[in-house]
Amino acid sequence: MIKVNKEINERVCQGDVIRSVDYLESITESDGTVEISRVIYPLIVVLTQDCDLEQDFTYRLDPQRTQGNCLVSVLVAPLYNAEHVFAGEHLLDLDIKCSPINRKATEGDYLRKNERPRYYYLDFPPETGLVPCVVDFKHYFSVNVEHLRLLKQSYFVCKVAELFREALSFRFASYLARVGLPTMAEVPSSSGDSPAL
Amino acid sequence: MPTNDQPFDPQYGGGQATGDAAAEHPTEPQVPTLEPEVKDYPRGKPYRVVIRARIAHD
Repeated sequence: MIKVNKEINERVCQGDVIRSVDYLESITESDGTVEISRVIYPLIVVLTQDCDLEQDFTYRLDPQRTQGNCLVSVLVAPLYNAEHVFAGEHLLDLDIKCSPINRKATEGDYLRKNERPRYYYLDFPPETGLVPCVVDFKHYFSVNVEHLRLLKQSYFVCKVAELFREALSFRFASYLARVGLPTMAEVPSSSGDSPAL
Repeated sequence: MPTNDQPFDPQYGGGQATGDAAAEHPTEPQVPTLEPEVKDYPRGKPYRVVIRARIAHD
């Protein structure tokens, strides 16, 4: 089980868990009609480094300073109900069907133990009212800093404690930095180079 | 650990209800279950909202 902090900070912090955050999919205009498509995520966790967020907040509000260290946006990842993920139904309302994960088999056990690089399993303490959640490192998006700060005032849930948020960020960075190597069958025989071992 | 049996707290989706909701769902000790059903918050899944608006021309 992870530890959390429920004291709300005025600025956005790394590890913040915030409800009802929207992702702007597209804005199109055709024949005089504007169409705005958004996806509402019930729960997200902030991934951006805390020192960057702190600097952004300090510099943004101080007219005596330059704003060169301000951020354009905050990186966040959706938190999915773990049971929905096991059932492969967490994106069903977006018409996306995922493969179920057998929670009783090795694949489900590995996910809960955070031994699958793609996922991060968060078992929240009971006082948060949150059930176990899963971050899928293939899913992340950015939100305008000020927009998220205002959302946080109404929809803050808790903040993942420092050690656990660092573990989450480290795992995310590692997953993004992975190098996808071709399988041997996909390497053209005439390429000359041996695939890296 | 919250379960589907707990009254819904609109802030976090779990916890204690108040008022009429509390009367309908009196607080009882929560017995942990080994194999819970699909649990509660976030009960919702991501969903899409599309807004269409006509541009007004003078």
